[in-house]
Amino acid sequence: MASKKSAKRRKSEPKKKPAAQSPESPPAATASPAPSKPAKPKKQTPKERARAVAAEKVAAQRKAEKRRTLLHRSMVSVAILLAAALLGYIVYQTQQAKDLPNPGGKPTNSSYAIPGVGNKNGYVVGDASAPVAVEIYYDTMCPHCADFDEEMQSFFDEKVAAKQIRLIYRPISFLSGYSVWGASAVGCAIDENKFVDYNTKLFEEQSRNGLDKDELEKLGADVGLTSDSFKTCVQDVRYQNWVLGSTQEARDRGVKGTPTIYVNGVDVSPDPKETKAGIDAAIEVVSGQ
Amino acid sequence: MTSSLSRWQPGISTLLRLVLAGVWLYAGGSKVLDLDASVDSVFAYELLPDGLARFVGAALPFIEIALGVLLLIGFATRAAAIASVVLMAIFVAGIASAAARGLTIDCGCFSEGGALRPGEETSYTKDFVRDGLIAVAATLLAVWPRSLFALDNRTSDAATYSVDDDLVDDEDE
Repeated sequence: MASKKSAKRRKSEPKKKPAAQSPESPPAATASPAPSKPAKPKKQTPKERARAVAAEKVAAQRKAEKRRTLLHRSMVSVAILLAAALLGYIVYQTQQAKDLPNPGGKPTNSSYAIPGVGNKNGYVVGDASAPVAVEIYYDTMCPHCADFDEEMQSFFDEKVAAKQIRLIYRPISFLSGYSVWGASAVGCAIDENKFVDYNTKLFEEQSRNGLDKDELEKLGADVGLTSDSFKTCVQDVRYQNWVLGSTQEARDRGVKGTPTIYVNGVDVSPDPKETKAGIDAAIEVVSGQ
Repeated sequence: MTSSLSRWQPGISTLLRLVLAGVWLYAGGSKVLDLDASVDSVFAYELLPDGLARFVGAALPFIEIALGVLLLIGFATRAAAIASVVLMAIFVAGIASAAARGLTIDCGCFSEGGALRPGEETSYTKDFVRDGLIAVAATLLAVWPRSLFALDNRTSDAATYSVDDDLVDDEDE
C-alpha cells in the first residue's frame, strides 16, 4: 500500500517539501478525547473548525501510535538479535564433544603406557649420537607450533641428515581436552612408526577448536594408518596418561607455552630465525670442543 | 532534505537496506555451518578470554543472519541499521587491534578466519575499506530508514517510517 503510493508520487512532477503535519498542528501526544478544544483564531465556519480539529487529533494520534510501534519494534528486533546469539551458543554447545579430558589433569596411573620403545615423553628423530639435542614441546592444536614445524622443516632435515642434531618431539596438552586426544593419537602413530607423517598431517589439518576422535582416526587413514590397532588406540585414548604425565613434567620444568624449544637443555626462542641461530650456535660450540 | 533527495531517498534507502541485508546474510551464512571455525577466528584475534571467545564465535553468525533477515524484510530498519553500525565499529576496532599488535590473521569476516600460514599476506587495508563502506551505508540507512517494500510500512495500527504521512498532503491537493 505504501509502496504503491510512493510510486505514484514519483511519477508526478516534483513536489514541494513534504510536510509531515499541517503547520498549526499541536505537539503530538495530546490525544485526549473530547473535540472541545479551544479553536484556532481563524475565520472558519464551525464545521470547518471541527473538521480541522478532528484532523489534527487524528494526525497526533497517528504520530503517537507510530512512535509506539517503532519503539516496540526496535525492542522486538533487539530481542531477536539476543535470541539469535543465545541460539548460536546453544547450537555450538550441542556440537561439542562431551567426554573431553581435562588437559591439566593428573595421570590416573603413575606407571602408564608409553608409546614406541624408549621414547619416554617424547619421540626422537635423528641419530642418537648427534651432539645437539633439540627438544620441541608442542600442542597438536597450537597454530604457532604448526607454523614452527613448517618453517623449520628443511633446516631440521639438513641438520639431522648431517648427524649434527637429534630432535625430541614432546607432545603435551596445554590448550584443551582435544590436545590430549591429539597427543595420544600421536602416541598411537608412534606405535605404528608413522610419527612424522601423522604429526605433520595433524598440523596441516589443525582446528583451533580441536579434532575429535573420529577426525583423528580419519586423518590417520589419510597417511596410511588404517590398522585396527591404530583405530582402537585413538578411540580408547590409550596414551592419555602418557600425555598428562608429559604435560606435568613439562610444567615442572618451566614450560609455559607451546612451542617451547630447548637446545641442549637451554631454552631458546621459538621464533624460527632465533631457533635456527640458537641451534647453529650450539653446533658450533660442540664442534669447537 | 532537498526535494530531489526526498524524492529519491526511499529508493536509495531500499537499495542500501537490501545490500546490507545481503552482506549480513553472506557473512553469517559463510560461518554458520562451521561454528568451530568461527570460534577459531575469534580466538585468532587473541582479544577475548576463552569462554567469551567461544560465545562470540558461536553467536556472531546467528546475529549476522538475524540482522540480515530483519533488513531484508525491513523490520525495525533503523534499529537494525544502528546495530549494523555498532557491529562494524567493533569489527574495525578488532582488526585495527590485530594489525597494531602485528598479528597475521585472516579477519574471518566472510569466511573461516584464523592465523595465516607463513607466506600468506594480511589484507587489513582492504578489510578496513570494505568495513568502512559498509558502516557508511548502515549509517545512511540509520539516518533515513524509510524505504520501499519494507515491513515497516505495513502495520495494523500505523505506518512507522511515515511513507504514508508524507503523501497525505500531496494527495489532498
